Amino acid sequence: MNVDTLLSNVTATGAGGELALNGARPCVLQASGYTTAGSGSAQVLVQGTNDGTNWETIGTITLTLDTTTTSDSFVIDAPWGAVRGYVSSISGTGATVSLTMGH
Amino acid sequence: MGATINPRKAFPIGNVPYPILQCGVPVGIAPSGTMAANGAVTLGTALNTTYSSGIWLYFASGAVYAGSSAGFFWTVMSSTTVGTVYDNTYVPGSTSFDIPASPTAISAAGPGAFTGVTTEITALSVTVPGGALGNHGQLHYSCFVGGPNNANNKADVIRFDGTQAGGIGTFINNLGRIERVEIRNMGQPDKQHSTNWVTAGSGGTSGIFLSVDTASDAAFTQTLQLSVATDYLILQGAHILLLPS
Repeated sequence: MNVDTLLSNVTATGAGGELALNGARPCVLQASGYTTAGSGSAQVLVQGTNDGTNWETIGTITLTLDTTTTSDSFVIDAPWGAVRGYVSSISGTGATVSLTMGH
Repeated sequence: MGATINPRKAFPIGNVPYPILQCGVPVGIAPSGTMAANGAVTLGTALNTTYSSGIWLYFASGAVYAGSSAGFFWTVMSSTTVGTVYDNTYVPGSTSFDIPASPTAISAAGPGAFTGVTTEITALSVTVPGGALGNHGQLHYSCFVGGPNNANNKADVIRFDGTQAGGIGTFINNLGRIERVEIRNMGQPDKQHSTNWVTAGSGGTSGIFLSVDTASDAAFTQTLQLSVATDYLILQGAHILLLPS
């Protein structure tokens, strides 16, 4: 089993770098996050592309953040050329989110 | 917390039924009451049970503490009328309805008497991914809405892309309603028929016809509304099953 990082301790909205799947499937996408104080939230889109230009949302992970790390995940089994994480929203004191892919 | 996927983009076989929303946490509109210091609430009307595990209750702006926004606040009840409101909020479609892992205590003076909200409030919202249904795909929605058994009008309305697809605007003289709404694309992505059921038996004659462009993302919402501020209305739980085609 391999684990790749798509988003590493991200604190703002935006897209992460793309990761070529190279036939890896099925894959488990797991988002995790935390705050440094109080509660918060984050929404991470998992997007796929075959042409490197047009990104489509495969799934969405919504996290309720707290000072204790929380996480959620889903599985995909489609032969996308590449995937990436896109933080569409993040809030909370010191809110941080990461996205990893196991395959 | 929650993860939703577009099954047509996540799996090689597209027609796998998939739940796009499952909510078991109660979400409701609070009746008028009194808010003492630090979130100590006393409701003027007893709820239908003691929500000792918690409930998201909607309060008007300024009702929880000075300057608090209108919205759903996490509330843990010790009886059907007394409880503690925490400074954790739920915004349908934006934040999770999951039970807060570590509720944030309120440390503020209580505003005193507050009035229940009588405007239409969105209790659940989820995006149906564009293209997920296909020409013959379906959405199967089921929920239970509870309230006081009186003649005061209440409403629970289900909408697909802003158009009513089920529910009722005149919920009276009942402790609860089971809503079962089945929305089916009529062989094309932009025309649907919705079967709106009331407990057992048909609640409508020919159902509801919709023209939602399901090739694009579309919002599916459940709203609640009181006509009398001393009442309450609670969405006890709901789920949506997406059947792609």
